[in-house]
Amino acid sequence: MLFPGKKTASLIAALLSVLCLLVQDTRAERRTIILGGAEGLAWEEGGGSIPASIQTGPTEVEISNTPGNVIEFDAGDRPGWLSPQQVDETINIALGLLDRGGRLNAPTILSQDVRNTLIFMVDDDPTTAFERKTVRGGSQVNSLGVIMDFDLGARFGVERIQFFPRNAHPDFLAPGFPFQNDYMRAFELLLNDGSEETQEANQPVLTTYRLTPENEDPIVELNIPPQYVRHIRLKSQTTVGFEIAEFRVFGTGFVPRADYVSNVFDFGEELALWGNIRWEEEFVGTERFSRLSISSRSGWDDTPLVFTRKSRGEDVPWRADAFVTTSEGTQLSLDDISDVQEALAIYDALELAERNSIALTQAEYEALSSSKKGAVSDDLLAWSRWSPPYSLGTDEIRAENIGDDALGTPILSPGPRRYFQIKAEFSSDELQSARLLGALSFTASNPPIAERIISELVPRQVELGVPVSFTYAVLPTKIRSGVDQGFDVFEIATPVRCEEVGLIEVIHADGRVELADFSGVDLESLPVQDDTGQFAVEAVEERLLRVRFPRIDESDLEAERAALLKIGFTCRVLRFGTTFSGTARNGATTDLGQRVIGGNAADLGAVDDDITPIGVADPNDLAVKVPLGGGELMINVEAQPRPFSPNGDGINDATFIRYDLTRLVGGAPISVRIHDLSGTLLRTLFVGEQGGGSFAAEWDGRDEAGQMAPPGIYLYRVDLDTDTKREAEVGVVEVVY
Amino acid sequence: MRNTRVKLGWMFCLVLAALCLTTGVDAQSQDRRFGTQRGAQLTYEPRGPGILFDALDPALKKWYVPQELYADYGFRQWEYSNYAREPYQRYVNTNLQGGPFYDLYGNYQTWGWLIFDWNQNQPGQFGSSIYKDPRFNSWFNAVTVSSDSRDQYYFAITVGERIRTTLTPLTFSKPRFNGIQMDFASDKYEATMLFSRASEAVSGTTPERLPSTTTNATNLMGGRATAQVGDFVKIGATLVNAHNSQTLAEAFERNPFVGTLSSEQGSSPVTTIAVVLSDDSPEDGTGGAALFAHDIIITAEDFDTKKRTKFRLREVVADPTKWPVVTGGFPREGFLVADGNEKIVINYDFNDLAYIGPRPTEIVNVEFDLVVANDYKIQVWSDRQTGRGSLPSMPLTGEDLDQSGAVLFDVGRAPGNVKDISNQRRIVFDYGLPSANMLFGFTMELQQFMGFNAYAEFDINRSYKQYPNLTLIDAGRSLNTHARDAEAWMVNVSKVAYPYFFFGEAFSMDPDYSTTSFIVDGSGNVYYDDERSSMYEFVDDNDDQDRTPDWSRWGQGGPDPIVFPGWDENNDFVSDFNQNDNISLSNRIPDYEEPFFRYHVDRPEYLFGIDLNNNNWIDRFENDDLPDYPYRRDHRGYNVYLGQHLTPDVRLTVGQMKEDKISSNRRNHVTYGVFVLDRDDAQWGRLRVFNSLKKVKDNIADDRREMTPDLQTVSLANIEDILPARDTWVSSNYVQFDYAPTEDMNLVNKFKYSLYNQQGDAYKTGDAPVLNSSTHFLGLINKIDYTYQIGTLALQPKIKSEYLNQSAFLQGADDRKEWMGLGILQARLPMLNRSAIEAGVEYSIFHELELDESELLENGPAQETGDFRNLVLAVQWTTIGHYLGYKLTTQFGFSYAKRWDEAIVLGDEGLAKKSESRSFGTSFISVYAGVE
Repeated sequence: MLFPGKKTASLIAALLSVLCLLVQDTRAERRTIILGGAEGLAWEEGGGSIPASIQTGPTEVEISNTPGNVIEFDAGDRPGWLSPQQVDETINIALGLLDRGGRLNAPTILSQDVRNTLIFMVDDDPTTAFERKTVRGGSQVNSLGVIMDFDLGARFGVERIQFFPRNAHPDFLAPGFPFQNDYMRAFELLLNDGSEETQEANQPVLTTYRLTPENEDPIVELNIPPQYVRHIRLKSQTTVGFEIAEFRVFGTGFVPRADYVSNVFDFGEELALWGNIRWEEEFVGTERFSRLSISSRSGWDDTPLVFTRKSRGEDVPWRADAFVTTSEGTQLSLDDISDVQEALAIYDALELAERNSIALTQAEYEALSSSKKGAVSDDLLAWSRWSPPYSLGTDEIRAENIGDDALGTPILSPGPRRYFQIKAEFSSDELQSARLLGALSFTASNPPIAERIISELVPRQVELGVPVSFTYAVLPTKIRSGVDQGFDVFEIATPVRCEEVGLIEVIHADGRVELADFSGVDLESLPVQDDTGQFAVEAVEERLLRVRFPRIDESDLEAERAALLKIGFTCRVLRFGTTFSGTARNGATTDLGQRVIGGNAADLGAVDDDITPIGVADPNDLAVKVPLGGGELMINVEAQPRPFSPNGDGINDATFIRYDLTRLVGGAPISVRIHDLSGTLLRTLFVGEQGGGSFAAEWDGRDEAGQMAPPGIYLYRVDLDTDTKREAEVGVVEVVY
Repeated sequence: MRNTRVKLGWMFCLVLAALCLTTGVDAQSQDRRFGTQRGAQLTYEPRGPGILFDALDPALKKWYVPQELYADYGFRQWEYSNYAREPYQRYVNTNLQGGPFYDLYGNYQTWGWLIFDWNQNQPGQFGSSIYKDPRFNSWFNAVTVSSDSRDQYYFAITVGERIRTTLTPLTFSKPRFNGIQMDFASDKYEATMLFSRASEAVSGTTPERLPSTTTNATNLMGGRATAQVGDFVKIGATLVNAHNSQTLAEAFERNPFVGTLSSEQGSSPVTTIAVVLSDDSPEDGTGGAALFAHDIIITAEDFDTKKRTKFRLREVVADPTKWPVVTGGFPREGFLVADGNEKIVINYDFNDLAYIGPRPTEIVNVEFDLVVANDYKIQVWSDRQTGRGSLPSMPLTGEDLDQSGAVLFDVGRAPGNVKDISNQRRIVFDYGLPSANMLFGFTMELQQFMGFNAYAEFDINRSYKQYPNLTLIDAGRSLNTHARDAEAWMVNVSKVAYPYFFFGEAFSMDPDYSTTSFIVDGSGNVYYDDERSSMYEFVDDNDDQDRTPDWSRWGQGGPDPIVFPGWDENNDFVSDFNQNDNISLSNRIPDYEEPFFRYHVDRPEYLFGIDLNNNNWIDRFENDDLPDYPYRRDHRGYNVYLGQHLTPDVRLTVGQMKEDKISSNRRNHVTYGVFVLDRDDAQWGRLRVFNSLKKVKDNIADDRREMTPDLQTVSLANIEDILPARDTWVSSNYVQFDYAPTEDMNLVNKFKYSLYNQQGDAYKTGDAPVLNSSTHFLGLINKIDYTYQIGTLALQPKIKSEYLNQSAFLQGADDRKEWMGLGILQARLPMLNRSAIEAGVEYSIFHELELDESELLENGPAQETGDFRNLVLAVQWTTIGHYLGYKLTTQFGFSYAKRWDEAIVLGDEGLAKKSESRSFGTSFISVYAGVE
């Protein structure tokens, strides 16, 4: 065998990838992981190095990448593509119902022995049957009203249901059991599609599909319009005894719900920052009837689940006789603490490493008897929740550009973290429609800038649309010496272009303060530096401010060696809840940058109303509020300069109709027009859609025909049409020569 | 002679004395035992025991007083009972005629039985009590009417279990009101008052002849008063209130309309609250709730000092990232959004270690302060919002809420379907459990003012909620109460000035307008998601306007099993499409499917009518699951039409209807014209021509329920509105010609053609199923019958043809094209005076015309073609006579049926058409007793 097989190649690629991750050097390194597709790690192998543990019930966990086993690999003969399973119309899907987590039940039958024979209906064995008939010499069996409930375990598109007694169906002949006439003489069949809307108190609301008061067919075959079905109830409406050898259900189309969960990726102790995620996606059938949701989560340890055991009536996550060390240094058994809630509080307060050292592992959990097993749940202390589904936006991802870091959407799971996992959820509302997932890739880099960076902004309550001087404080709570990169560049996402940059200070742990004041500096020609060359304003863009400063590469709040960065700037805020997010970067590397988290970074004077201690996170510390009372969506409408002289002398040759749109996101229709004093339209400067922000439309003094307007007074009119209301602003602009 | 006179005089005196004595003894007896004689009337005022003359004897002997036999038998201390001469007589049962009853002032009222009694005593356990004697049901059939009148003033008190009561269509309308209705009417004024213990009004008799008592109850009080102002105007005011009450609290201490939570509801403090934000129009997948900021204001009380303190979020949490836990939502720049089915859940767990605020038992109010935008829907959940399912554990996610079926209360929703956050606003609300629901409003009627009639109604729905705190409940103090208002109004104006006529209507009903009140059970529990046990409706769903509400609610039995609005024109509570269904002999097969019946009864598809909500079903025949308001909740709009009678039997109407959903940007706009001709000519028969043409833009779904007779079950299937007229020209045309050329011959011809012609792209875009660009229905029925009379033999041949050609609305769905023909020959021969024999044969042929059978014969697959033939033979003997005052109809006979189903089967010589037959037989002897 000259060439390794596909699976072997995938395995090698996975091992190489993990090896790369483990042996990386300490310099910042950006890496792109590709899962699936023709070139990436095989979907079947799971991608990461730690197998995915999937919770399938309150106390059930399985190691699988495809919970429910309804994912199809190499979908549509396309290598490396995933899709929901497409049902083979000749395969009896009732056969696998127990494996899928489905159920068989007969609620009107009290005898467990009889109930145990329900399985004979879905065992594909022509010689066994579920019987409700009186045999000679035996006890009387009441067959009227017998109910048989089938839970298929998942929603399937079903188009045919068939049931019959032994020796009736030509494919299930059993001459030794000549009971072909013991078929059900009258029946009612009820269906439920398994959707949440059709459940009441967690019980399916069943709808009669067919009531047959007189059945004369030993082989009952019901061709039903293709529809989603999960629960089927067959009810006997006859006093005549019957048996059912096989109850068969035939489906069609794609399963409406299918999940894929990757293995856990381990990025090593250095931790990693996350970049963008992107994937190839296609659809079959009608696009709007199917969805693909990609989400991620990140964690500090290798187990996203918490396993518990029963202890004094409570579920506790530590193993039996686990000891913790008290602040006095004594060993304390958690099981000996009389109040279990108190023990749980102590456990939750432990450092992650200590907590994990006494935590119940999956292997230990599975070794417990069922009565000792407690609930399994997501570990929300060490792992983030699954992120909201990502959206690719307008990017067209193909196999050729799947590795392009610039494409895709930023990963929302918190970073830096060591572990990372991805989930793909396929759903469909129509049997013949589904999404297909090709290659998926994401970017990560390590080591990070710092373990954690806290930032805050003051003031956080300002007037709408009025320039305000802000102070932005950045506090890296810990930069690990020799591991983390530190940072010397900081970017602030501003709602509009900054009008001025003020004082930039770096206050070192030893009390040393380095600063530069950029007040009054012209921001049109950038970058500008201070005299030392250490501080600079590198970019002031419509929604971005980037500054450079002496590198901050060591900071540890707990060790009271915290360095603090403060940036002053002037900017306007156009809506309530504007968040000035920040990103710290190391200018010497091409790392992904580390987004800061809001929190109390410093005492910033009277306007800083933080009551939490410094270093404590609070996402509201980066959000700015404005009064909500004002109803105007369009403010600061004015023409500048006024008057203007479009005579080509290079001075005030054009005027700009400036306006700020507040509160809006997305695009709202807006137009800017010039009229003469009689109201005649002279020129349409802009017609289109704009979201919140600061805008300007230029008028060069010409009309639609390109003719110069005669000197005089003109009217400009800005019309805004939002989902809530329409607004118009009219003003005057003078043309002189 | 003188002696004779003296003797006569003495005799007269003796007789008179004897008479006086006799009368006096009787009177004294009645006085002591049953009452006091006052003139000719015996009254029974309570007087208490008196002082007996003989009892003033200062002896030591023992007195047995009171002693009712003392007066009768005159014994003293004791008496030897010897029944030799006078046989023993049993004790008199003084209760045979009931007992005496007195009013609050001690006035004797009547001698009889208490048949109904409702009282509420506070404070005290089990203070609410209702008693219903079996006689209330058996003697009075569960309704008593006490009425009086003088001059123009009329008054009546009706106590009943099934009173059809309507105050106004927007406030109170029930076919089975169980309670008390007091009515007053004079020439100018009218008034009504309603009272009911809604939570347990008692249907039938109270068990074991004891009052039904409870500590927790939901009481209903309502009323309406109208006054005629001038000659044309009548104004009215309405108030309906249902509030929870518990009898442990002192009476008249608080505003009863506000209600109070039960002690059970306050028994455990609220420990977890979740605020849920979602997309109010999830179907479009965008522009869902946007959350910019959230805060909580907790009010706690020191119960020793009664000092209350307010805490904001930042004061009750050590680490703002850990409390409250926010799950779900898609992060945007500075806010979270919940698009589509996503939910943002803000979890406030007062037992969380990260929470350092007041203890749950100290909290007397919780207020939320959110900054939101876009098309939001805000709901709230807490662990005191009890339902049938188990409570989910915190922190909750949207998925948890969906899976657990947790009970959520609506707090607010955004008007319209804003997606650009231009409606950013602050929403502040308090948390609480419902304690009362109230409706109040005003009406104005205009009668024949310049030819106009008008009706206008404006109502406010105020729902009260209270924050549960056991300490306050136990102390009898008021809980923190807050109210939320929703409005509804309607105006109808009409005028007829022959040949012209005009009608206009305008309406608006807020999405939160509710005529549903939650009721407590005897233990004080409320299951907020249980319509059957915990909801009381002021306005019921009763689309067929019969005596049974269509839905199932507490105290009124199960839902109406058969709902057929508009299909019961003969008012016999039986569907006119299934006239032979009755309580003794249930029949689930519609008449248009039954042999012999189907000659006269045509399918409902052939009906013609107005469908202004455009769900392809005539509004008059529509059954839904909504209260019977005249307009739909969350809708606002108008409808105006103008018409002219071109001739007395020809009418033309044009109009426009526009309605919009308030909480979203969905709308239903219809411009229509209707032509009606109904000409009955003695010579040429009756011709009916109905046409409607309308231009529709409708994307408001109006789901409905429909009987599913083909399943042979009474279950009502939910029919989802596929929005067949999103931007559509809809024309519907109907012609019927009935002609009887001779007395014995009848011809009936019906033709119906309707067409949906889709415009623009709306039919294939958006969130609704894709439609075909054009959909039609064509139906044609022709039938003729003739009666030959040959001597006493009556022969009646009948022929019917039914053709249907219908294309599917949904793309990919099957079209229908079929024809059915049937021939019937019936014969009736009287045999004796009151006996006759009848025989009939019906042969029918059904052709499914959509399937290409020649193609199947050539290429397969083998399958049924859908075609069949059917033969029915029936013979019956009928004897009609009178027996014991009843009209007795006795029938016996048999019927035989054979059906041939056609299929294409694979035989030895390839594919071939083959018929398989099945036979059915029935024989019967039936006796019907009638009272005609």
